Amino acid sequence: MRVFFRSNTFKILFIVLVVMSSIIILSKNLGYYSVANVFGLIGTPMLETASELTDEQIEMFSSMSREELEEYCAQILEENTSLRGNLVSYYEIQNENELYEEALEIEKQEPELNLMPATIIARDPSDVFDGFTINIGYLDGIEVGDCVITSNGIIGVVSSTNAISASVSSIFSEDLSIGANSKEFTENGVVSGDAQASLSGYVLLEYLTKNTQITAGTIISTSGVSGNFPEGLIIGEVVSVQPSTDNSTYFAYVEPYEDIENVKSVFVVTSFTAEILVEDEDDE
Amino acid sequence: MNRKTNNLVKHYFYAIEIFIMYFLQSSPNLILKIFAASPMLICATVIIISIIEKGSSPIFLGLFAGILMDISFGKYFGLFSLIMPILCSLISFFINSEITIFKAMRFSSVSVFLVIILDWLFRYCLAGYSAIFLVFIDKYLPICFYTILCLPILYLLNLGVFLGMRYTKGVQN
Repeated sequence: MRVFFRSNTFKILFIVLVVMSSIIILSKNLGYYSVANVFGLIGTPMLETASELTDEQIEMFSSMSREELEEYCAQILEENTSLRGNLVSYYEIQNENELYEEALEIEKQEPELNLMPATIIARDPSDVFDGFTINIGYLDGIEVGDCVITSNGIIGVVSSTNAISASVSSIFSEDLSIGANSKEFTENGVVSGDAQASLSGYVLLEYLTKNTQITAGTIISTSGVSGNFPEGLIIGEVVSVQPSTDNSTYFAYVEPYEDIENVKSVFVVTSFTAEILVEDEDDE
Repeated sequence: MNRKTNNLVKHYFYAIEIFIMYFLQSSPNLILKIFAASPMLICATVIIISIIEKGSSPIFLGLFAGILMDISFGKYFGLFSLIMPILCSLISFFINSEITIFKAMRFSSVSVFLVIILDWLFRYCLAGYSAIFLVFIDKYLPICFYTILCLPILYLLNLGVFLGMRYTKGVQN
C-alpha cells in the first residue's frame, strides 16, 4: 500500500478527487446539479432515440437466424425505398395520435387537469422503487412535485428536474405519501410505498379503522385532502386487508392498475403542483 | 501509427464504449431483463478496462464512468464520481499485468460485488428505507449476478482492443 501512496497514480488520483469534490460542492452550493445538467443536455436526446426502439423490434431481431436477418434487411430496404416518400412522419404522427387519444381520455375523466405528454427515456436498474426519467424538464414547465399519471391512474411524482429531462419517483417509493379514499365506502387512508410490498408490485393503504368496509376489489383513488394531489385520480385496487402489528388499525395492499415497471409514456399534470418532495430538492 | 496516436484511439474507443454502456444500461427497452434485473454495465466495463490498462488512464475513465453512473442513478450526485476513480486506480495499480482470464473474472466479480454493496449501502440503507436485507437479496443480488455474467464478454472485447492497439517498436500488433 505504501508503494501506491508514493506512486504517480496516487498523486493524479488525489488531484482528480480534490477537483471532483470541489465541483460537487460548488454545484451543490449553487443549488443545482450543473454537471448533471450539462450531461443531461447531451445525453437526453440520445436516450430518447434509444428508448424509441420497441420491445417488439428487439425480440424480432434476437429470434432470427443470420440468413433470415439478411433476407429481412433486403426486404426492408426495398420496402423503405418505395415508401420513403409517404412514410416520412407517419409513425411520429401515429404515436402522437395515440398520446392525444390517451390525453383526451384522461381529460374526459379529469377535465380540470392540464396535461403534458412525456416519454420514459431512462430507468435506473438498481432503483428498488421503479423510478424513471422522462424527456421533458423545467424548460417545458415541469416542476418538482408535479403528478405523473397515465389513463390507468397516478404512477408517481416528479422528484427532480433538469433543463430537458426530469426524474420521477413512483408511487412505490417510500418517500411518497398520498391521501387516498374509497369512493364506494367513503373511507380515508394514506397510500404509501413500502419496500417489501413494492417487490410484489403493491403499495400500502394505511390507517384504516377497525370497522373498515374496504375489501379485496375496492377501488382506491386520491382524496385530495392533503392538497398534494388532485382529487379523484385512480391509484389501484385493494388486494387484501390486514390488521397492523399493534392491532389498532388496518392496512390494505393495493395493486396499481398501471404496470409501472414497463410503462413507456406518461402525462405530467402541470396545473397542479404538489409540495411533498420540495424539501428533498432543497436539501440537494 | 505512433504510440501516442495508438493510445489516443484506444482511449477514444474506451470512452465511446462506456458511453454506449450508459445508453444500454439506462434505456428501458434495450437490455433483456432476467428476473426483473438489468446489469450495471458502466461499472462492469470500467472495472474490466482498469484490469487491462495501467497508468493514470483508469482514474479518468473511472471518473467518467462515475459521473455517468451518478447521472443514471439521479439522486446523490457525486457518490460514484468519487468512488469509481479510487476503485479503478487501486485495481489498475495492484493487478499484475500478466493476469489470466480466470483471475481477471474473479477480481472483477469481487469489484462488481463491492460496487453493488456500496450502491445498496449509500443509496438504500443510509437513505433510511425499510427491509434492507430482503431488498438486497431480491433486488441487488440478481443485478450483481447479471452484471457478473456480462464480465467475460466485456473482458474479451476490451482485451481484443488492448492487444489490437498495443504498440510495439516499429510494428503494430
